[in-house]
Amino acid sequence: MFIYQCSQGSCELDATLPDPVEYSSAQFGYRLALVELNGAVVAVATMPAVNSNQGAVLINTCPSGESCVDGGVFVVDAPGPYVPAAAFGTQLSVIADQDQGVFYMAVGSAADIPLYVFACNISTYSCAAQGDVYDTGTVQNIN
Amino acid sequence: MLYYGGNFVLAPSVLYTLRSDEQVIRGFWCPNGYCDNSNPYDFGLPSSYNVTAFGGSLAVQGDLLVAYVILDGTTDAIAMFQCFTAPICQFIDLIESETYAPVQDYGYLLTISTDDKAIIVAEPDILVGIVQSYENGPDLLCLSGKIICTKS
Repeated sequence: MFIYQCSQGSCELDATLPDPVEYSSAQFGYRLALVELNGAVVAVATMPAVNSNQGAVLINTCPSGESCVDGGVFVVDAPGPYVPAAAFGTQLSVIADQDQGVFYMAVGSAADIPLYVFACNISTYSCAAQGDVYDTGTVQNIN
Repeated sequence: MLYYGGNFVLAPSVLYTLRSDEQVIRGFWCPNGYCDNSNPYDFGLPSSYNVTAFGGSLAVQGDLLVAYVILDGTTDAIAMFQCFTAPICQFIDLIESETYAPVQDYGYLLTISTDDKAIIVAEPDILVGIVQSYENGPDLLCLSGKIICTKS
C-alpha cells in the first residue's frame, strides 16, 4: 500500500507499506479509506480472502507530522461467525467522530450477509464491533 | 428476500445502504455506531421515474447524498438528495449527461469533495458539477472545459 502526503492538491509518496506478514494477501487494499482524527491520519485498508479465506481490515495510524511508517498498525478480523468470512472487507465506509475521539468503520461484503459497524480508538489500537446491520424483511417509512 | 451490505456509506450518526431490490435507499439512525435495525427509513425517486436500478454507488457529504441510478433500463444518471432530517432524505434533482458518451455507467462510481463543493464520477477528469448553494437545495454551477455538468 502506498501512502502519499498531499498539500494543495500536490502529492508526494510518503511511505510504502508491505503486506503485513501474517496477513499476506493478494487483495491487500481492496478497499481504502483515509480519515483525520484529532490531528492524526488514519489509513484503512481491507484484506478480503486472506489466511484461509478469513477477511480482515488493516488500520495504519500516522502521527501528526510524521511518516506513516512510524505509526501504529493493528488488524480487525472478521467477527465470528461471519459467513462467508472471505467476503469481509469487500465494502468499506469510514467516518471520524472528533468529539468522541473515535472513528466508525462499516465493513461488509457483496453477499447476503449483514454489514458490521465498528468503533475504533487509535489510542488503544483497537476496534469494537458495535453491532450488525441486517434486514428486517419489511419495507417501511417510505419517504 | 431483501438484503443489503453490498453498498453503503456512513454519515454522522447515520448509515445509508443500498437495498437489494435496487429501488430504494435505506437509512438507519446509528448513534455511536449502534444502528437501529428496527426503524429504517426508505427513500427513492418519485414514482414518475421508471427506475431500473438504484443506489449502486452512494456518496454523502454534509446534507447532500448522491446515488447512481438507471432509468428506463438505458439511461444512467445521478440522483441528488437533501438530508436535512437524516436519515430521511428528500429527492432534489437528477443529473444526466448530455455530452458524455457512452452514457452507460455515468455515475457508476461517485464521490463528493469534503467541502461539499463538487460531485465527481469515476471517469478521469470528469467533474459533474459544483454545489453552488444550499439555500433551496444544492444548485449546480456548471463549468467549462472537461467539466460536463448538466442539471436536468
